[in-house]
Amino acid sequence: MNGEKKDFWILLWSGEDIRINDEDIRLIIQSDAPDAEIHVVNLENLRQMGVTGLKSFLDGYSEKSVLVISSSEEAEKMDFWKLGFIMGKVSAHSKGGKARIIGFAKGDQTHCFQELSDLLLKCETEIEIKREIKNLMKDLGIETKFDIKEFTAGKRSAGGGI
Amino acid sequence: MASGASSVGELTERGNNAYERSEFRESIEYHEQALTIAREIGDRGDECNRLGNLGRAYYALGEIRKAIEYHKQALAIAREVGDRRGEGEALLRLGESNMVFGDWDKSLQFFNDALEIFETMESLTSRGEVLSYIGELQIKSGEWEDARENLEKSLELSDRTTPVGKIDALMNLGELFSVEDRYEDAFSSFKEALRIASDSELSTKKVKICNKIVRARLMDFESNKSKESLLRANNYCISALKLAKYLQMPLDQGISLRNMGIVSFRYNQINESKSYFRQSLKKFQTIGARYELARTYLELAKTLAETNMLLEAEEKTKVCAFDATHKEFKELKVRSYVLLGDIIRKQDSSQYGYYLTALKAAIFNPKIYTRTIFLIIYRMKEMERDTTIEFIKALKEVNIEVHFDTFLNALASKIQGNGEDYNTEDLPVELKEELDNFPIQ
Repeated sequence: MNGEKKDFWILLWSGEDIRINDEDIRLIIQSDAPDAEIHVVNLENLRQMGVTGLKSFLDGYSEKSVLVISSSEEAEKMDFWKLGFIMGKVSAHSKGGKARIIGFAKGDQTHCFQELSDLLLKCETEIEIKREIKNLMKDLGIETKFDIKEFTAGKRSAGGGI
Repeated sequence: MASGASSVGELTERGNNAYERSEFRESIEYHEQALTIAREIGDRGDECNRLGNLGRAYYALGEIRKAIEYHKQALAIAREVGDRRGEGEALLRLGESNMVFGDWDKSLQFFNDALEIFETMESLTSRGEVLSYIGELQIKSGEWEDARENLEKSLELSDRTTPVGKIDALMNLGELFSVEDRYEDAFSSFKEALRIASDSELSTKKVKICNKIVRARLMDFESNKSKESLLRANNYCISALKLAKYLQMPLDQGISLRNMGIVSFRYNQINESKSYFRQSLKKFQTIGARYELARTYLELAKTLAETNMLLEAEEKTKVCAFDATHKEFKELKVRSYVLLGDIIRKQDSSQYGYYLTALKAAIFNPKIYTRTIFLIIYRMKEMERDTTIEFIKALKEVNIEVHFDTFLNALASKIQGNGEDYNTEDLPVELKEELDNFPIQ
């Protein structure tokens, strides 16, 4: 980070659409922000925090950057969950050799959500949005790799035809 | 019309009777009235049970979101009042409902949670029931070894309680043997299930078993061209239909009529086949069973596509795809898009757009995604070289998975013979086999 302000995206999802485990996410973020300390938080807790609570939550880790990620049954109730993804944006800079969050955007609750709003306006369908997300994931170097056993199961059930 | 009853007990009984007759809307009316009274008098236990009844009725109608909503409410109350059985039952139904969406991981989680509860309650019958559901789910998702293990455990538990509990596990075991092409074992399982149902005078179960046997017999016919199996499929279909009519089970009648449509089609009796499908559609439309209705549209479309009645096939598949999209029957949606791809490709062999849509629609579940991958690979083998190359490029645009991406790169290189080397050592063996055996024109 070298004292520079840096923005990076946080992708949060249910695991229904795009599968990646928490550990892989940690590795990806750490490669971008090596000093970051990453905390995994249940989305339901996050939902209950609201924006103000979230800010306090982030402030609690003032010397460190925080990644909030998880899935939860309750998350289905969130409007943007219907799109199968949640997107957040973190602005971070280094302080005393450690990365620090200076801003966090999620949902449509802050001005930083503009990027997602643009995406929603630009895309007519959920599939298009997912494609855009996929491009973004590619840019971030996030890969989805299924376990080999999924292919055994997939081939077996494909044997029965449509 | 649901009226004339005043107590929760009476309304519930009427609701249950309506449910048994597949009069689901009427059942809902009674259970809603019972729910209102239960709430008014503050009987949380009754409220929980009525919510469960409503969930089951909406499930039967294919209104899965609503079913889930009711079962979730029932779950919350059961937890609040410490009703462990109610909690387990709600979790079981949530697992069942999510299966229709194709949300298999979520289903499995609910089933496992239910199992944990029934284990602590030492309820052998309920444990057996959950294990049978888990087995059913694992057959769908191709995890056959795990399915067998769970179904055998379910049978073992039922052996220690009541033989009736074995029926569902035997039916699922029959289905497992069928997908493994072990038809004789499958028929033995079904026969045993039928024997128990007959001994216990469970006629409604007999209808369901007969319908399952028809499917297995049809699979045997399709795999081995066994004429005996086709004949038996026909006989079981007739029995199931007669019994379902006699017992006034319109939902099962609809399923039997759909099966009759498939059997008649296999006998090349196209008009009869269409007539049975129409009757099946009408039955499901009358009772409002949207999921089964969509499945009948898909089966009808498959037969129409096979007889090259492509416009009609396309229309019916689109109806299924529309309903599947609207009602979030996600697995059915993927299947309809693959079928649409097949129908369009029959008309123009360079078209593959619907296969891309199918793959995109399958993203929600890795097992369905990988199944779609293989369905697509099988179809790629029949494509012209140039179309295949173009299709690979398009697939790379929409694919999200690393192994399949490597497969596509390696396949493109193999087809084009451009000498580019891709490391395929880490590929799953199933993809490697497809790559090695892919015909080069």
